[in-house]
Amino acid sequence: MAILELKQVNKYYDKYHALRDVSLSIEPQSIFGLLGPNGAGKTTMIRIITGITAADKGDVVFNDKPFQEHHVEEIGYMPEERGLYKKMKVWEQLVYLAQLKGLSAKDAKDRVYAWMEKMDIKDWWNKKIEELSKGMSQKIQFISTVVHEPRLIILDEPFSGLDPVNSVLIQNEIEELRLKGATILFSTHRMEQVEEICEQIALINKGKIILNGRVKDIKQQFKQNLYSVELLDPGIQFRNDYFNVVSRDANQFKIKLANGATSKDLLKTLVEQDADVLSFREVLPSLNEIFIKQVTEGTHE
Amino acid sequence: MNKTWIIIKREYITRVRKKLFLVTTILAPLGIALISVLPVLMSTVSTEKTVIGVIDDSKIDSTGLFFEKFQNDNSLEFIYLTNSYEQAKNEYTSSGLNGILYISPEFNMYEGTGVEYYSQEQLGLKSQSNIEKQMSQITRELKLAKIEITPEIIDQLSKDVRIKSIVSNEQGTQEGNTAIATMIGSIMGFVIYIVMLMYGTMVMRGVMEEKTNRIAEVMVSSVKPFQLMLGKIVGIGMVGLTQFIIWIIIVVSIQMGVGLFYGEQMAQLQTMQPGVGMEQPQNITALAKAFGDIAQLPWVYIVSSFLFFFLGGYLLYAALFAAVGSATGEEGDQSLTFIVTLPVIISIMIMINTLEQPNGTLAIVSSMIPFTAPIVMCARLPFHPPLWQLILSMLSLTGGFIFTTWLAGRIYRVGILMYGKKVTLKELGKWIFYKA
Repeated sequence: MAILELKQVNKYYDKYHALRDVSLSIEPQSIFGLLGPNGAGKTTMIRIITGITAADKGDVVFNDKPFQEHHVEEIGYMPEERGLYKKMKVWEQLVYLAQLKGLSAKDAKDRVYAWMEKMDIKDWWNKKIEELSKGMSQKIQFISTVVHEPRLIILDEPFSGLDPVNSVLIQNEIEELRLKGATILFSTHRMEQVEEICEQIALINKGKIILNGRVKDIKQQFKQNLYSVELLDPGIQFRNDYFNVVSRDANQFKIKLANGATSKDLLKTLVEQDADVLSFREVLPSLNEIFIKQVTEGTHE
Repeated sequence: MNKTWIIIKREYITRVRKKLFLVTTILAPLGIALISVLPVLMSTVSTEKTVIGVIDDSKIDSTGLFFEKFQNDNSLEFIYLTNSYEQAKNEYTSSGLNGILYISPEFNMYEGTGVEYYSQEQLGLKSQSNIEKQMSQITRELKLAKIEITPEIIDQLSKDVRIKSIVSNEQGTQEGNTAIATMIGSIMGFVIYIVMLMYGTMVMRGVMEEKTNRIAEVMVSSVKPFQLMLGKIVGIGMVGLTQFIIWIIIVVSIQMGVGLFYGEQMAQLQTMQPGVGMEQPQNITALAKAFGDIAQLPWVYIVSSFLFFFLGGYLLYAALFAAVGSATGEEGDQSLTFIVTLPVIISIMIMINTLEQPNGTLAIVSSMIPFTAPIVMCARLPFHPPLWQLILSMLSLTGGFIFTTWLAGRIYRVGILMYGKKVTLKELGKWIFYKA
């Protein structure tokens, strides 16, 4: 059972085809990464999921039910371009946004207080947003996104503009929320974070999903039979037609296996030559490489 | 609780508790009241009198034509001197006079020549015209006596013809007063004009703020864009209404206070200058009649219709201003704002014409067009327009603001999320037909 499913979703702006038959499914309590270059359709997709705009064709299924207006109360959305009312006090702002997510005034106030206490920013209660630094208002923005305990949290570039300390803090909060049952949808183009945090990704380019699945599987899918071997004695001979040395750095070899060759064959060669193997591991492509490869290949189509 | 209502509450409360709101709401009417009371206050408070010595050498009659004929008031005092002009010129300052009014032997009352004022300082304009008026009046009486015309004849001569305007329609037959109707009509028209522009722009700025702050995207992930727009329009409308009610309360209470004050003043004026202005008593009766006519206007009907057009006009234009705000964002767009403002300005021009011809074709047609109806129909209210026109105008306005709100909603939902593009009218047109 998926918390969110998109089925053959299409969106047009005038004659521009912004999303083409987009389908994906997000597991509950997972962290899902939505990747893609600028202008690929990420924001449009998020806007459809958050109910800001509607699909021209296709279905959005939330928690096994067709998307309905009240579902927005179960979604928390932090857009890339953060925004708050500058003249409002911190607590008023948070209570206001929480009320719009369906909480009662009292409930909203209690939860806002609890969150501010948790993040150790109770002192800002009566401050105006315009008095806060950028990092401070990011924290407020984060609280406003999660204060109503949404089942699906959508974060668009959540770490942009955050210093490392706050970045880790938010990351920990996200993990905590996930353990409590929330599902997180990340939109970003920073691959190292995705690799670190996400279990599942979808890569979108020019309005189309070009990759979709578990990070592990995708890496397997794009592996190039590359192995990294570190040897004590570098005087080892590799059969050129079978094992191609792509690069060599002192005792460190990067070897690409020809079609048909396996890691066992490589190990056998090493054992036969009585090599002292210090390390032996498969080199999987980074998401960044896959991303760039897919996007540029897509462009050449 | 309904989300639109939460938005209305925020829009209302954040504006009402601003210092600027308090200042404009309370100080503006006080300022206006002060300006209207100030002249009266100043004339009573000012104790500085100009004392003028009068030497009458005209020899038109034995004691002098002007002897003891000048009226003293709280700014001018006349003292009649018997010494010669040359003597007086040397002595007047030491005897506490500000100047000498000299009527020479060459004084010619038919030409109005041969009078001079001798002083160290220029006589104020008001004092000079006061003296000139008094002298003309005195000589006029003498001249009239010479050709044997009595004051009664003058009175009969100066009687103007007055038309009694009787309006008869389905609301009954009433005596109308065109001048009063024009005044009330134009005041109401202008008030609506100001309301539509002032609060309309406030809505526009609010929308622009939300767009440039990027809060809009957060908001529309919780509520529908239409709710957000409606909440803002209604919230600011309520701010306007609050401000107006406070103003009316302040103005009415000040008027009541000032009314008492003015009443005393008027009575005083009457007793002080019995002979000077023959037209004075007539003025006062005219004024009393005017007040009577104002009181006789069907106020419940006028005020309730006014409120309807006030709200309808505001809703109609606020929606358009919201659409413009959503389409432009930070830098604003002069030409789009102008397009929305234009019908308001045209309405005011039509209104001025309408006051001349309250039942002319232009007046009737423009009362039926929703964009001009609020101002034009309001200005016509005191002229007892036929009931069917009023109802048709109201219906058209209602239809109008429902339409503009719908239209604005279509543009708004696309506009607030659209960045970095210069918007053309053609594009706005396309937005209307986007699927939500």
